[in-house]
Amino acid sequence: MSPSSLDARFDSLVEELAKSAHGSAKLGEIKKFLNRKLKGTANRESFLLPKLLQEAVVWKDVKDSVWKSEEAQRENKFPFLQGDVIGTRIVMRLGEAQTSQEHDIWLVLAPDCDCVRSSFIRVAPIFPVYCGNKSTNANQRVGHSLKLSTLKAFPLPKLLSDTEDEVRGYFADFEEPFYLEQRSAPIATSYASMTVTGWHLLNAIIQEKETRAVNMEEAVAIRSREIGLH
Amino acid sequence: MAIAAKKGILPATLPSLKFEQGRWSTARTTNVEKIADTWRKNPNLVKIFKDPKFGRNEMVLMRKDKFEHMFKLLRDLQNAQAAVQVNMSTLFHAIEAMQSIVETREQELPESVKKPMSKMTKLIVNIRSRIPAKIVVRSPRRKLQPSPLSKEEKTPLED
Repeated sequence: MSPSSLDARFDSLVEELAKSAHGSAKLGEIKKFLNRKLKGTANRESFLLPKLLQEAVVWKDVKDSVWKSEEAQRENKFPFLQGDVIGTRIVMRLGEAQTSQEHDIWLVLAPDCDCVRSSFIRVAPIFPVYCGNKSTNANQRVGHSLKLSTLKAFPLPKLLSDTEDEVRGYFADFEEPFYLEQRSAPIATSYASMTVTGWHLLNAIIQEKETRAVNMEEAVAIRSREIGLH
Repeated sequence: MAIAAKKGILPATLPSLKFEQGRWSTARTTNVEKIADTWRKNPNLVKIFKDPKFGRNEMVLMRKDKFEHMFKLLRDLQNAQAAVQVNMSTLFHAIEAMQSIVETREQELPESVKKPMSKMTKLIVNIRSRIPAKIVVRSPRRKLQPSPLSKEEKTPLED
């Protein structure tokens, strides 16, 4: 291949990459689907929420079917997975002294491998939403999160252990970064894991939140300016 | 915590506990011999059992001596905290006495004594303004609240 054709091939590969590197185009289609095919929050709630969570996946239960060798099983021993709803009060807040939080329910945002090997695991606080008063901020946020139209939150259904009738569901709040130390991870209890569908949606939202370019033309123009380095 | 313990600041070190998750429904049928053997091999093991009936308050099974160790550590810390408060209070009283001498006998004190004493009292006043009543060794507590709604989230929903 000539240098110019190498450049052309590489440029086309980067162009293809750009389509997914700044948020998934497919997420846009899912948002449209939720908006157009399902009218009203109640319809979206009953359609989407039951598809998101399943009973907590436990390493002991799945290790034999996922990894053949015992060594691989040990190397991948996870306390919980990305998308798990976990309970602990020893999460740390970024920028504060290493102190415990009173808050006790979190959504794991870090990828599966980080849950096993990273020193710190990123989590997001989960807040309950109650039935009744629809004008609260929490209900407003859940309404938007059920359309996947907000990047600040992700909707979650009631948990198996929820006995209160007035709990309608939950949302995870992505605004502030919180971390769980790896050495403290095994103390956290996993209440539920995401289904494959829930996990894909969560990843698409995280990706769009962390990497999106809202105005691609503008973002490219900023980076395309010739800057004299001498 | 670990650094403080290494330097001898804390009265004791936390035991290095090993946590393991489990289900109460399966654990309750475990043979007692097996449990005893597990503790023998791994005395620092703490088993956390969940069950839908427990809600978000899981049950923990650990060796009693390890529990007592932690209980004693907390009690020692409480006592150390009380001692620190008494010591600090005594220190403040001593400095206040010094401050009072500086203020009432200012004219009689030689310059070589007055200057450092004034400096010391200013320092302690400075410290007291930052520590209003007493020194309390406690983790900051803040109830987490959801973040404010974004502009997009404030858009009224159609229903």
